[in-house]
Amino acid sequence: MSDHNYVPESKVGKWFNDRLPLLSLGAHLREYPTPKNLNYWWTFGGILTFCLITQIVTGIVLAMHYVAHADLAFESVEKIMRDVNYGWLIRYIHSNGASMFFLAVYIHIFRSLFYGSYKSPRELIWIIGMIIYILMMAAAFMGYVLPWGQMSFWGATVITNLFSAIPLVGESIVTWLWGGYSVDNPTLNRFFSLHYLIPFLILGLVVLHIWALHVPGNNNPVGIDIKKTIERYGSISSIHNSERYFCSINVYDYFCRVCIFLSKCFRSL
Amino acid sequence: MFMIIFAGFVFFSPNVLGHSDNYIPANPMVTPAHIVPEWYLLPFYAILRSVPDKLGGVLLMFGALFVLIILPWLDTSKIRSAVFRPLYRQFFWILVIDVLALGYLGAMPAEGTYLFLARVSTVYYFLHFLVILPVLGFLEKTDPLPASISEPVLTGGLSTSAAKSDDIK
Repeated sequence: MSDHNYVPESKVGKWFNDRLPLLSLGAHLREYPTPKNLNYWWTFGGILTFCLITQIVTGIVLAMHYVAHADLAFESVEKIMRDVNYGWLIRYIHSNGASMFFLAVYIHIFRSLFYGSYKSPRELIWIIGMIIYILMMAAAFMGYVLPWGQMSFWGATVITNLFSAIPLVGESIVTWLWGGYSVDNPTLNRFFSLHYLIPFLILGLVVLHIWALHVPGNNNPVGIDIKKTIERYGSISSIHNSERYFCSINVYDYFCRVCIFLSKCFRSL
Repeated sequence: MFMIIFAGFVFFSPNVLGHSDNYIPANPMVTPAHIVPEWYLLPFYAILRSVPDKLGGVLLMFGALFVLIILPWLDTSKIRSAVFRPLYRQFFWILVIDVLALGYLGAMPAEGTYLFLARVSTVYYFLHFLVILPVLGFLEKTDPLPASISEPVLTGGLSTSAAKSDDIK
């Protein structure tokens, strides 16, 4: 990393930074150089971070109103939808947020496949990413069980039953997972507990994922190593700028399309 | 752009990605007609169901994830970007279609034509990672790489930079 030589200007800053280099980290994040030819597909890392934070924040709020009990879970979700102020919005952001999270992660993965971002020297970034992806699937599956609807219950039954395919110990493992002889209240409780835990594991892995990324730096659409330092100009803010740029164009485009669509609808009435 | 799609789902069709059966309270005595997971797990669900044997299906499903983990060592090509790999580029899009097909087939009942197509797609998924990628690295004739990331921009496109390198020869 290029900013090991960062020295804070103030004396207090220097004293602090010598003991805990948080300010160096801040300087690194402010000035991290990115290739100038990155395209829109390189914004999905940032988008995914946003998705994770959204899921954690809405999830914490939902957990304040949700009751993890087989007899009360479904009722409590209905209560969130009807009685809690803006509960419907928070729940819909959380449930659709999960889908959007996966949409973004699939784009992120296929971006990597197309531009060969998993190749040397970025293998570890890819593997950490895959572990995040597997944890995401676990979190999403357990989250889907929590409302305790029909599909929750039977989804949990089918997926946990997969482990019974393991020879000899399969059945005991399934019983252990369920905390009983069928999917029931103990299963719901442990799924809730794990559903709360896994996002924070993901958060930790995301830190490692970005850390591992910042050692070799970003891959780029051309896929060749960057030789001259002058080509690595700008900073992380350049990604944000391009994001904002694409965003504004698309907001306008989308708005126009919606207007045209609505005018057609009204005309046909 | 992404936020618009996100907001579009939240405000206009918040339930379309879920399953309507989940608005019925859980009842261990009644099994739904079709048990399907959420859309983003469907490709793996399709792989799972395409194997008649339970243990085999589970192994294959985890295998689908495992080939992704060891992917950096399966792809033998030194060229990173598919922009310069004409053959890989085509196989990449076939893989995209294959995974989308698996996703669609995972939502359909596992019988008849659906099951057959799911099996074909599953076989192709593994073929891509375990056969096509390693072999392609040796067979493929890649396009010439530009000297720097600014060259394609400065000389006005990849084709001219390739032509220029031919001139030098």
